[in-house]
Amino acid sequence: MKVKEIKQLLSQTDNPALLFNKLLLFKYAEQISKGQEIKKKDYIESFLESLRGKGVLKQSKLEGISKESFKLKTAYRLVIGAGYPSFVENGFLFHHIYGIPYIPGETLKGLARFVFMLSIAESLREEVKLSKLEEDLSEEKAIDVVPQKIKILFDDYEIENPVGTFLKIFGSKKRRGQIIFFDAYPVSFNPSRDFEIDIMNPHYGEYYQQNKAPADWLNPTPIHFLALREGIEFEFSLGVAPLEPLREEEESILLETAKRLLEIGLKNFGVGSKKLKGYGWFK
Amino acid sequence: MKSKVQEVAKLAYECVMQVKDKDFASKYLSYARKLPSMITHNGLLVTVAFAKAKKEQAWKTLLEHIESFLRKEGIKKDKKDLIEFLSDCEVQEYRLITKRVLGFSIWLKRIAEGEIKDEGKGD
Repeated sequence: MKVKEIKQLLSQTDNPALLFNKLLLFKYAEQISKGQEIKKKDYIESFLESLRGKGVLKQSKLEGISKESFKLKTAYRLVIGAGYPSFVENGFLFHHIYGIPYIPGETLKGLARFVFMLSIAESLREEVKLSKLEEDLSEEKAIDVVPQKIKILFDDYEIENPVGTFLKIFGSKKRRGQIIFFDAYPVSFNPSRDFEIDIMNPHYGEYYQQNKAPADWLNPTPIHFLALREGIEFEFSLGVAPLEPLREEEESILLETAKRLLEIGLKNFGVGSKKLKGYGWFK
Repeated sequence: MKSKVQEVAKLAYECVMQVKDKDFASKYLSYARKLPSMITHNGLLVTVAFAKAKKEQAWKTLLEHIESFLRKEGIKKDKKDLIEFLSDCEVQEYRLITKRVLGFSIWLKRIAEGEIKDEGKGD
């Protein structure tokens, strides 16, 4: 089979990742080689079109490994992995094998860690730099200033011995953390309905980049990109790494703390791109 | 006798030296850096199409370099456009070419990083 014949098979592709990243372009190859311009909007629209009518993908359970899990829905659109290379400038993060969107575990761990550090900073009397605090924590320098008990930000939940808990959950440069943050997957994903085409439209590019006056007559530059719609349910799972034996109640305290941190983070800070505009927040 | 790897490296070196003193050198560097990950992530054809759609001197030169590699390896002999050429390949052949170009692009990246001064101009 020749490469250009792949475009005849496009409607049979079920995997959104394969379609968006690699195959869809075969449809436009001829036009591009003739020097014609392809609109990014058309590209994303034909991606949505190819997925129309495709079946719903259900998630299977992480049985036995996951100790704690909860579900949240996207409160607004979610854009994740916009920095990945793609034909339409802004890429999208798909699972390499299953081809569905997901939120990587390291993103979630980082978010929970960030909330923990903000909570510590909040409990301190004097002003503290977050970067300094992070450095001290990751090098296990005893931080005497941190009180014995702190409260999680936006929550009444109390953490005893915050520094010890922090090191046990997230680890440091010397040791691994004992809580595993799994990738979060949509509970059920409908490729024909859950993607949306979105737009950002910077007006004052010439002002920002070329030092011109920020005037009315500058032209807007529409940039289309792919997003997930609001209201998609994701399942977040946590596990325990068997590094050193933990007492049972200690294990459940660590899990509960990590879960709360993550939940606060998802509801109040969000994940992915354009967080300040409300993208990637959960409810 | 020269090994295959040495030959690929030599061609990559010659390509980078051509652009070293040009005004788009720092852009070339930043695109050469991206090239291997783009090929792995999006496939060769998408990468070539993306580069062509950009209509920028640095991308154009990079494409010429890929083409000169294919010519030297005896893979591409006609004068067809690169996208057209790739579209006409058999699928197995296309995969082999992707692998070879990926190997070459890693050399381009390596040498460009060594030879071209990074002025932080690329995006």
